[in-house]
Amino acid sequence: MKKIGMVVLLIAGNYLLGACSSVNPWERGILAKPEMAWTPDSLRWQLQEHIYFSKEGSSGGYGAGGGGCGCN
Amino acid sequence: MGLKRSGLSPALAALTTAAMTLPGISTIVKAGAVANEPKLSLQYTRYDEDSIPSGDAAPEAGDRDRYEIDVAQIEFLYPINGQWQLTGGFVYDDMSGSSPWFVRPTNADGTGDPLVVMSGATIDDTRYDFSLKADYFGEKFTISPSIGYSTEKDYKAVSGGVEVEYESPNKATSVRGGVAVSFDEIDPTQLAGVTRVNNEDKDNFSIFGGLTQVINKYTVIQTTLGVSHFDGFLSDPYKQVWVAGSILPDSRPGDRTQYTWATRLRRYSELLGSALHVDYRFYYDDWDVRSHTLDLGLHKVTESGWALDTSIRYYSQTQADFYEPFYRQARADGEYSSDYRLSPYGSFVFRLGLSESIGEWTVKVAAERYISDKSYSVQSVDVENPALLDYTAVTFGADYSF
Repeated sequence: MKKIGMVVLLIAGNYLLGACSSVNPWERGILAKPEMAWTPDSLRWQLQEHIYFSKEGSSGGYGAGGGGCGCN
Repeated sequence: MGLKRSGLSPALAALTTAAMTLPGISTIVKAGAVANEPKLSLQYTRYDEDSIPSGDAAPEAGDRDRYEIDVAQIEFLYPINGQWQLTGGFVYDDMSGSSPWFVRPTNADGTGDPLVVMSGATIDDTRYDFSLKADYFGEKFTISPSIGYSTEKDYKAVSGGVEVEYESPNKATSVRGGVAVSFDEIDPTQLAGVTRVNNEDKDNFSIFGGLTQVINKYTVIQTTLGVSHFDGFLSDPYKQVWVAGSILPDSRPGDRTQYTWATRLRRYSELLGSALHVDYRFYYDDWDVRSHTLDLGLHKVTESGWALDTSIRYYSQTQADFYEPFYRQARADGEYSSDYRLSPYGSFVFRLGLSESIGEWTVKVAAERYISDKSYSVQSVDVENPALLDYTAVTFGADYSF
């Protein structure tokens, strides 16, 4: 059962990577559009993440870094 | 499926090479490339928490008005050469208002609904946060070390970290990882008649790893796993708890390990002329807090320079295993907290942002509304913490490219 799972994973991974390699550089104009950025605005996103970090019981997820604060 | 490089005409090969060298295209799966020019970003935000409703406050609650914070942010991005760039950041917070102090039952015998008692006098504080990040863009690797320092009247934090990103030769996949540390020190403002600690500290070590993958010419996905460990004084020195009629300090375990799995998807729709943003994060820690965060957004940029983004964020968390709104009897392990942030609840955020680029300037305005309630939780919640937070934030900003 474990082996079947591994084979399925390998096939799926191979398919995914194979599909991706078919995106040629000249076809990536859409991916480079500003609206495709991970965050619409960097400073706004930094502040939002700081607020959620200060005011909710869970935090993190997209990287590491930054110190705490005395926010209560 | 695609054309083989050997079969390309000279003109198409030249176009391909040119496309590969465009920062936005060659690095779509990376965090970025050296900026073309220096950029200064300024932002001001007014953050305003709703007052505690009178029905949730004890008669002796004190000032029910919660925090109002003015936040000023400055960021300066400076490309040094073709491989290095520096980003310096500064944040100034000016805050005033009251904060939830403890929660007590309506009746002295421990029966009735929980009522919140506020901190009494208005708290005024300022926070200064400095950060510096360098990015080195190698042929295959991007290396980004960073440092930070945050200081306020009763709190100091020194932090540092490094992130490394590897881009595959076909530029469709990138793998990234990083580590970060933080050393925080708290020296609470003392209040006559209230027992508070002196000069405590806590340390944090975080590590993460992730994968970014171009799926097709409209879709890119990123997934990240992270672990973060805190050690030291993790209680809130300004909060207390009601335990069988006595008021005791908030007292939490001395360490906490957090695990996260976060995935982000960006999908462009030709029909809408916009990008769909989907973010999901699962969080778990050894205090037994579990949370789900789902963020759905739409981002549109017009050719005339206008940009609009709108999004809705849903969040739901379970409570920490030692949390209670108040304690009818003492716990054997001595761990107590009635902090609303460790209580079970759910929340929604509604966001709207608008910007326009005029020459070297981009001017921006945005607003965000956050509401929380026990009924928004994924799981059924019996007793809601009366200090759950609602707030509004309004932001104005401008970018200038030199």
